[in-house]
Amino acid sequence: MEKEILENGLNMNRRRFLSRASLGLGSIALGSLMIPDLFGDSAEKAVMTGLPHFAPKAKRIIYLFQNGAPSQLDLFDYKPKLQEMFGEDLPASIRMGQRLTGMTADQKKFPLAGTRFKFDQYGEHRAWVSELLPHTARAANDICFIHTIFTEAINHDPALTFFQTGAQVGNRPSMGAWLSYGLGSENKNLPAFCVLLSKGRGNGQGVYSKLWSNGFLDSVHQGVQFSSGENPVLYLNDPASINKMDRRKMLDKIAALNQESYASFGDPEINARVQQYELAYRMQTAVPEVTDLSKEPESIVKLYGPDCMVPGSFAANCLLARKLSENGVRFVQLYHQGWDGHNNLPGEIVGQCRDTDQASAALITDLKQRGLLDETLVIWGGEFGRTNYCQGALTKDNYGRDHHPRCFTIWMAGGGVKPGVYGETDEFGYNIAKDPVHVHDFHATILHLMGLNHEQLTFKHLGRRYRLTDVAGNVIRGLIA
Amino acid sequence: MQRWKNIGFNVLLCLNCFLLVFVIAGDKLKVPSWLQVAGRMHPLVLHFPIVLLLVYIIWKWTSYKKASLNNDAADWFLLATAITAAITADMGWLLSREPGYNADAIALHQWGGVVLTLLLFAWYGFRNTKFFNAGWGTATAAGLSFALMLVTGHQGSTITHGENFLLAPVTPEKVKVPVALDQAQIFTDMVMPIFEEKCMSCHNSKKAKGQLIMETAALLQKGGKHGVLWTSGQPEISLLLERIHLPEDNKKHMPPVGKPQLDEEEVAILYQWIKAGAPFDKKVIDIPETDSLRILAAGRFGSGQEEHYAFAAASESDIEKLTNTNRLIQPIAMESPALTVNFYNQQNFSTAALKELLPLKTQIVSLDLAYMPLKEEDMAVVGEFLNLRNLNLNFSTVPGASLAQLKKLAFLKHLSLSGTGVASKDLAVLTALPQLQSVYLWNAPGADKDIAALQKANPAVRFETGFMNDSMMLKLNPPILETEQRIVNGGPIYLRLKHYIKGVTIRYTMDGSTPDSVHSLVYKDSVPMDHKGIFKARAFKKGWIGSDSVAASFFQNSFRADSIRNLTPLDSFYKGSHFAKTLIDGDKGDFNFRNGKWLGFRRNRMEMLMRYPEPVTVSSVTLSTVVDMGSYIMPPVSVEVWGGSDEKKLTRLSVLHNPMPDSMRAPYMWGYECNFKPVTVKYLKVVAVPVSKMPAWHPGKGQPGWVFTDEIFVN
Repeated sequence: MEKEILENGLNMNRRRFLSRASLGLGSIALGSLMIPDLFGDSAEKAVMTGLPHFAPKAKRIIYLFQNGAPSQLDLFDYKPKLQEMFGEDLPASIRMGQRLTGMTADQKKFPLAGTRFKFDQYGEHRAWVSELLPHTARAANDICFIHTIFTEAINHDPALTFFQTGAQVGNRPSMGAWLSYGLGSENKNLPAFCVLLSKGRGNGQGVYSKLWSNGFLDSVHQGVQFSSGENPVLYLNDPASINKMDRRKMLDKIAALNQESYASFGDPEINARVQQYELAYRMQTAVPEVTDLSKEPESIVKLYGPDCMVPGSFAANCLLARKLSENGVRFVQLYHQGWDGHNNLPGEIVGQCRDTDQASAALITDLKQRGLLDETLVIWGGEFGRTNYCQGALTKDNYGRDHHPRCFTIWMAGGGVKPGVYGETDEFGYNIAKDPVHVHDFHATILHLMGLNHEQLTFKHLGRRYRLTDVAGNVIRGLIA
Repeated sequence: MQRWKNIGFNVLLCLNCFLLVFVIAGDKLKVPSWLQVAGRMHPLVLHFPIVLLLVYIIWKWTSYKKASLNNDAADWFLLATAITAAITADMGWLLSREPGYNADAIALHQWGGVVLTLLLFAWYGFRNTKFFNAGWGTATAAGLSFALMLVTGHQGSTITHGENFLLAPVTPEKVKVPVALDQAQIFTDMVMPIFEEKCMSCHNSKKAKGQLIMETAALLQKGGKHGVLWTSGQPEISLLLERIHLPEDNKKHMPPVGKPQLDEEEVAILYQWIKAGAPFDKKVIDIPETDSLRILAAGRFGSGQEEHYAFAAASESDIEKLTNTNRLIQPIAMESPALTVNFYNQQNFSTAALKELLPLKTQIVSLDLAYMPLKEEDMAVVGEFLNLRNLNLNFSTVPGASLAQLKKLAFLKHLSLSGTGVASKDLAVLTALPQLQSVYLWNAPGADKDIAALQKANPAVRFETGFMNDSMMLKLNPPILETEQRIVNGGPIYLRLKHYIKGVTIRYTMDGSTPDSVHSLVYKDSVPMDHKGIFKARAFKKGWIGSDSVAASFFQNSFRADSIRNLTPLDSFYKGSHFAKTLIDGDKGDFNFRNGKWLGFRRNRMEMLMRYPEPVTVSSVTLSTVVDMGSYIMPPVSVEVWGGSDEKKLTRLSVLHNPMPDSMRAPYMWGYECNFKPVTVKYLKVVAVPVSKMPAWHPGKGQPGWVFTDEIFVN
């Protein structure tokens, strides 16, 4: 306690020193440095106001993260060459010294494994989609398939962290936190950034709360995890003995106390805490209304599939995501686990697709029929791709695939994205042949769609300004309608 | 001292002579590389004469008519100024001979420097004449040299830092009027800006380098002294691109070294433009969407969807005042006058809340009233927001007839009416909305059957009906058996089932047969299960395919052994919480085979010996197992039951041989029941043999499989 008081005192002295020192020309220069608008300066346009920098195409995002990395070669990126060369070794000229994970580093051979599943072309852009995803295939006219996403990480945790925060180490704000910081929330009764988790039957990889962390941003931008079951937001409901009036009185008193300690310490986190109490209070009415799926009509149940009524399933989360988004939640982040097909991939991927295909496509249809698809960006994809060669023993209809960072497929729909097929990989599906999209480019493009200039959305921390795209990233114009 | 002054003066004379030679005959001289180094020190050395001159002028000024001025020191100062100025000028000339310096750009700087140097030389040389000794003479020299220094210095900074470097931060940027894609001309809006930015500083009507002027289409087509710039359709042999593609150190490379170069995209645009025949009056939208030029254009122009609003912004304080937790008002972007308004929390909605927005009625372009309890008078208010582009009335109680209030909304583009009770006749208003593009009518039963007629009447509007296919047959998911207990001893277990989908009927059987939708019993509150056997239940609903079965085996145990002992060693990891006793603790395991309720066997077969306190008469022994093939847990190859009254002399009562499954399937539990003629025993031995080689279809083929057991039931 004494330390804080001392620190506050020092702050006060420094402030006083600065105000006394502000004399003459120096004070004007200093003043205009500290208050950029002092002279109506037009150069400083990047001041944060919680508004888009320019008219946005998308207002909200629903990110269906497929955790564990789905196999692009069995779902979207059709490579008949791999079937022709089934069992032959991956040529070194294609691999070009790509580093391997510890799981296949000792493997003597890298036998190419063509997909076991049938592919066909769909929609006006003739996009290839596997038979595993019949519903996604039907929605192909609204989807932009990006075949040339690539990342730098080769293991789950860094890759996932990279996708969510723009850095492989976990101390940066998540994409949703950046958007909450940059755009604020639409509905003040709900958090701007919500997180929903589900699990498939395939080989799974963990997700951790650091993925929806606010990092160095104010903690009001942290993602709020909704859980399945009776209480979607834990500890939100009042205990039986407390009524609404008591709660209100209690919050007012706590706020007064917090205000007092803010006056003496000046720690902005105290204000953040007060705001969070107030948000939670408003959420007490808003959340039960939003999370109530019982009023959804039968056609919605059929659209998303019967699992959408089973709490905690991917389909239920998709439906809930639509409801949250419809109610003004800026960023809804879903994670679906179970895509890590190191072995027995054909067996596992069938179940994973069964769990996700219908509901993912349903989300597009549902937003569209409400007139919301134009302003809601839906993203579907994992943290990296999977190799074109087999991990472990290769048989005619069973194989496994290791991690592959050099190219993989992600799809986006709505929110000002141009439907179609973007980018090409080589005939082995191992390297990018045309139009690469780095993770930073992907982030820059998403921010652009949301009306934000990724170079101007910054936050100063530890002496330098940080961005979601850090020091890289280009907006990919070819993805924008 | 005077000698040194003389030497200094001679040096000064010499340097000035050099300068004159350079200026007059410089074109014929070649600069050796060691002198280039000296030349490159020009930007360093130039600071000396500037500072010396300034100090000298101030000094002269302040000590004007004062005796205190030490003339000797002043002379030295002026000499130093003149010498450093001359050195700087000589170096500057050397530097200007390097490539990358355009003679036009440095002309003013060069001549300013030369004149200043000569002036200082003259000043020093004639310092003791009458003219310079007079006050006005010194003032003229000082003023002139100061002005020359300013001009020369500023011109020099322009060479190193670029045009308008000094004032750029306070010069208002030229606002480019954004061109929409559907308006953009290929030549005027894509090609010409590149020429303007990168070529025209030299190739304009004033300079006309190489006799090429790029200012108009006609002059471009004419070309310069080296011929025409391009051959239509053949960028590969076109002079323009040849010059651009030459290596940068080539003299003919364009733009010249030191000038801003074309970036890749600009080169691509020029290439594609010439390839397309170098059209001058073609619009971007006239070329196919897959054309490379069109794709390049898409990145450069707005899509044309960005609106430019003609009205003024509302006051920020009004917006702030009217924003609350039920009503969000925000500009659509920074510096945009247009507002978007969203209403939340239907229980707090009132007409007054809508009316409060009337001061902002000009600025509101997007209004979200989804799920709000709307009445006739609310729509009258909405009808006054004349600049509305988007109106979302989804799932609101908007009275159909009140849509007529919207007829004045001349800019309305998107109207969402999903989930409302509007009827097709209410939509007559749509024809009055000239800008309307899309209407969302999903789940609006009063209107969607007439979509075809509406579409015909309003061909410019897209009607979205969404997914209404109730006739699509999907399979229900199976019911969920909430009761976890599986062992029936004594009284019945009351089984509870649930299903998440409203209106399903659950039917069940208790004899192991698959329930059907007609004959099987209908589940009400609970089902009493009072005997061993297999319980199955399925869900049915009209319009759906009946679900798969949820199945559970129920077990009964009539005789409880007082001890159990493993005759073969247990697995070191899957040894159960109570070792061998795990099998008779009456605690069934679930699919988590690691939780201590299961015993696992792989290398050794399972052999368990149970002892009863009194001899018992048994006819059935069931070994309960789990099969999870993904985790290498297979059915036992065989199960044997041995019995007798002496543990050393047991006879085999029954043996079951199980075939291995031929494909992967989801984990399941199974009880292997061995039935035999009733026999009275004091000891029972149960044996289960794990598979020694996994089947060929399994990823672990050839390796031994596991057997997992959790209970033995004796009846």
